[in-house]
Amino acid sequence: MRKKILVFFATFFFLFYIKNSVYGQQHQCNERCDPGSCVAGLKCIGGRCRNERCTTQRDCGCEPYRIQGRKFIWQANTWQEIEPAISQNVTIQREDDQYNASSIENPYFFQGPPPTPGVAGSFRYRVSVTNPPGTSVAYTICYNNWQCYATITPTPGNSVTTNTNDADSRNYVDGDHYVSIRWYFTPLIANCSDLRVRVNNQLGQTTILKGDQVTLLANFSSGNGTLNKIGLAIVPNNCSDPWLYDYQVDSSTGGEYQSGQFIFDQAGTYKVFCRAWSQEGAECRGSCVNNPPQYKCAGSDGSGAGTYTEITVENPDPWYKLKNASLNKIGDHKISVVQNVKKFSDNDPDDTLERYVIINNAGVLLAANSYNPGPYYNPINVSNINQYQGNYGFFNKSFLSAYYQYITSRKLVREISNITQITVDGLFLMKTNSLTLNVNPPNYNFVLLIRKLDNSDYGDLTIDLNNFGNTGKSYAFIAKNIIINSGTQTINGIFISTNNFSYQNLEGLKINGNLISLNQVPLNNRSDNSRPSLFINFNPRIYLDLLPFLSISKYDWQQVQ
Amino acid sequence: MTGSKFNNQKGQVLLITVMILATILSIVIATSFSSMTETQLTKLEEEERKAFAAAEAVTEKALKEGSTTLSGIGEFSNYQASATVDTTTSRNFITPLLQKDEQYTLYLSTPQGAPDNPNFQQLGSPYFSGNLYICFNNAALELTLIKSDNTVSHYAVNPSGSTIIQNALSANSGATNCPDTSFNNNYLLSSVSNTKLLLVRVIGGSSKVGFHGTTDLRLQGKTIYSKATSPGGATKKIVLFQSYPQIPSDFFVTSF
Repeated sequence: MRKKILVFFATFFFLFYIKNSVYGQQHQCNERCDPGSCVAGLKCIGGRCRNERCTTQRDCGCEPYRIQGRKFIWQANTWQEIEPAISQNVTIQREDDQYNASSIENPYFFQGPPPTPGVAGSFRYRVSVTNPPGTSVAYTICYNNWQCYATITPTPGNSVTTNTNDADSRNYVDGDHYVSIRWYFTPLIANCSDLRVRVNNQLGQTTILKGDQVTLLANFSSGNGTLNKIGLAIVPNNCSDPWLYDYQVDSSTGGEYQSGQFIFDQAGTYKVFCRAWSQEGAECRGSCVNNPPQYKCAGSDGSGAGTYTEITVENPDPWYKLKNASLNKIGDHKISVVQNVKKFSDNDPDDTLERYVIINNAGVLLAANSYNPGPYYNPINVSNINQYQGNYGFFNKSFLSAYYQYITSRKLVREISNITQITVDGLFLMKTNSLTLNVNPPNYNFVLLIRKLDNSDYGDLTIDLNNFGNTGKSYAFIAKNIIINSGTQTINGIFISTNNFSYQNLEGLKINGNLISLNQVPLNNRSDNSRPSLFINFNPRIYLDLLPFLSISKYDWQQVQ
Repeated sequence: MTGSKFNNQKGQVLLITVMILATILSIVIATSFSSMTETQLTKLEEEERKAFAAAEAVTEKALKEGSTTLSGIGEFSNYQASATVDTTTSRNFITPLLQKDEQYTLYLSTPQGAPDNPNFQQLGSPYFSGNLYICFNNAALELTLIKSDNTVSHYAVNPSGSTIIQNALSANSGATNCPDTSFNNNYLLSSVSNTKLLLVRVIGGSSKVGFHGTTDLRLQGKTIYSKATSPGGATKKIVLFQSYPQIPSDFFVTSF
C-alpha cells in the first residue's frame, strides 16, 4: 500500500512537473521556453518564446515600419537632390513576393496598405533603385534615426534588404518605426577645366568683334570616369541647335587641348564650354547639359568653374582708313576694326588688306581727345610705324577761317556765277547759298570758294555724281557744309568744309585727294564693316597743281637803316 | 644949372631906350634862330619819311618786276631809290617762328622760270641733293617729302628726350650742323634728292626751323634789298623776304 501510495504521488508529481516544465510543452509567446519548445512561428530567444523578426516584442507581433528615403547626385562638389537623381524609380519587394511597390518621388515613402503606418513589420523587403546612365550608385540605410547617414559611408550597390529586427528596435525610442535609405548617384565623368578663349593671340576676352578669329583651349583629365574623348563647343546662347562649333578629339591622356580657329560671322551672345567623355559612357559639359549621360563638369573647383563662359560678339563700328596721309582727328579716335579687314571695294587699286588706319606712306595721327584703337586684344595700329598722340587738344586752324580775307586782298580771285565759266587755272568765287554739282567740273586746275549770296559766310556744296572730278585735273572746293549724295561713292579733289562734311552712300565714300573738315564726320555703317566706311587716298599732286592758289606767302621784313 | 640937369635926364632916357631895344633885338634874333633850326629838322624828318616810303615803294615794285629803280614818280622824283632781288642761294635757311600746328614749305626743287618768273605748278630740277639737317627747338616735327614722282614720305621726329609723338624718331640734342646756335635739336635727312617739297609741321609747341644742307639749298623766295636816298641825303634801307607759296597745314593735313 505504501508502495502504491508512493507510486501514485510520484506519478502525480511527474505529471505535474511535466505539465509545468519547459520540456515536453508547446510554449506560447513570451512563455519561458527551451529551444524548440515554442509554438510554430515563435522562437525561443533568451528563454522566452518570441517572434524572431521582432524579438523585442512581447506580444510577438511585429509593428509595421515605414521605408523612406531620398535620392542624391554628386554635382557641384556636393550631393544634390536634383535631376536625374530625384526621379529615379525606387521599388520594394517583400520577401514572400506578396507585396511590392514603387516610387519616383523624392523623398519617397512606402507606407504599406492603410491604415498601417508602414509595411508589414514581420517581413524583409528588398529595396532597389534605378540609376541614371553613366553613374554609379551607393546607399546608406538607417533604422529609426534618419540622421545616421552622416556618420556612415555609403555602400556601393543599387539594392538593399531591410532588417526587420533593426526596423523594430534599432535606435527605436517611440513612435513609428522606419527605415531610411538614401541613394547616392555619382556621375562617372571625366573632367575639363581652365577653359580659355583666345582671340587673335590674346587670352581672356569675352566681348569680341564679328570676324574675329577665336580659338578655344581647356585642360582635360580623368575624374570619376576615365577620359575617353575631349570636346570644345560654341553654341547659341539658348543652347539650341545648330551648334556653331563642335570640336571633338579622342583622348585618354588628357592635358591641354586647343580647338581650331573659328570666326564668328554673326553678332550675338554665345555659350562656350568644354566637354569630356568617359569610358564609362558619361559626358560632362560645361553648359547646355541635357539628359543623362550628360552631366555638368566638375571643373577646377568641383562646381564647374572654368568649364563655361559666354562670348558677346559685336558688330564692328564703321571705320576710316587713309593712304599716304596724316590725320588730325577731331574729338576721339575711337575705332573697332575686325581682324580680317577687306578693301574699300574688292577691285579697289588703292586699298590693301593691311589692317592699319593709315596705309602705305603713313604720317602721324593726332587725336584731339582720347586715343582708343579698339579692343585691347586686337587694337588697330595707326600704321606699321604706329606714330600717334592722343589728347592733343585743339588743332590750330586759324588760317582756314581767314583764308577768304587773305585771298581777296592778296590773290587774283575771279567771281563766277556758273562753274562752266571756269576757263583757266585759278582761284574762283561763286556766290550762292547752296551749289549742287552733278556734272564733272571743267578741265582746269582750280580752287572754288562757295560763298553765300550776302557774302556773310561760306555757302553749301552738294556733290551728286559718282566719280566726281575724275578728269585728271586738280580741284579744291571750300564750302561751309559739304554733302555727298547717296549715289556717290567716289569723289576726286580736296574738299574743305568749314562746318560739316557728310556722305550718304551706305557703302562708304572714297576720296582721292583730301578731306579737311572743321567738325567730326559721322561715319555710315556699311553692309560689311570689315571694309572702311571712309577711305581717303591722299593725293599730293593736287596740292602741286594748285600751289599758286591754295597757298599763302610768308614775309620777313626788316628796316636796316 | 637947370639946362645941365635937363641934359642928364635926356641921356638916361636914351640909355634906357637903347637897353630895351637891345633886349628886344636879342629876343627876336634868338627866336628867329630857333625857328630856322626847327624848320631844318622838320625838313630832314620829312625827307626821311619820304625816303622810307620810297624804299617801300621800290620794294613793292621789285616784288613784281624784279630788280628795279624808282624815279620820276610824283613826289619821289628827286629821290634815288633802287631795289635788288637777291637770288643767291645758301646752305642755310631759317623759317620765321612757326606756331603750334603750323607748317613751312621748303622748296627742294626749282619752279620753272625761277627766279624771275617762277611757275609753281611746274616744280622740277635742279633739285637739292645732299644731306639735310633740320634744326628746331621744343616741339616735335612732322616732315613730309613730296618726291619728284609725286609720292610722299613722312617722318615724325621728337625733340631729344621727349615723347610728344608716340613711336616717333628722336632728334639729336644740340645745334650741330644747324644754321646757328639758337637750336637745341637737329635731325638728319640723309641723301635727299629728287624731292620737290619738304613740308615741316610743328607739333605740340612752337619753334623756328632751321635747315642746313651739305650743298646749297634751293631758292626759297625773293629777298629784296631796297635803298632810297632823299635829295637832302636822308637814306633808308629795307630788306624783305617773300617766301615761295606756302601750303598751310590747315589745308594739307587730313582732318575730320
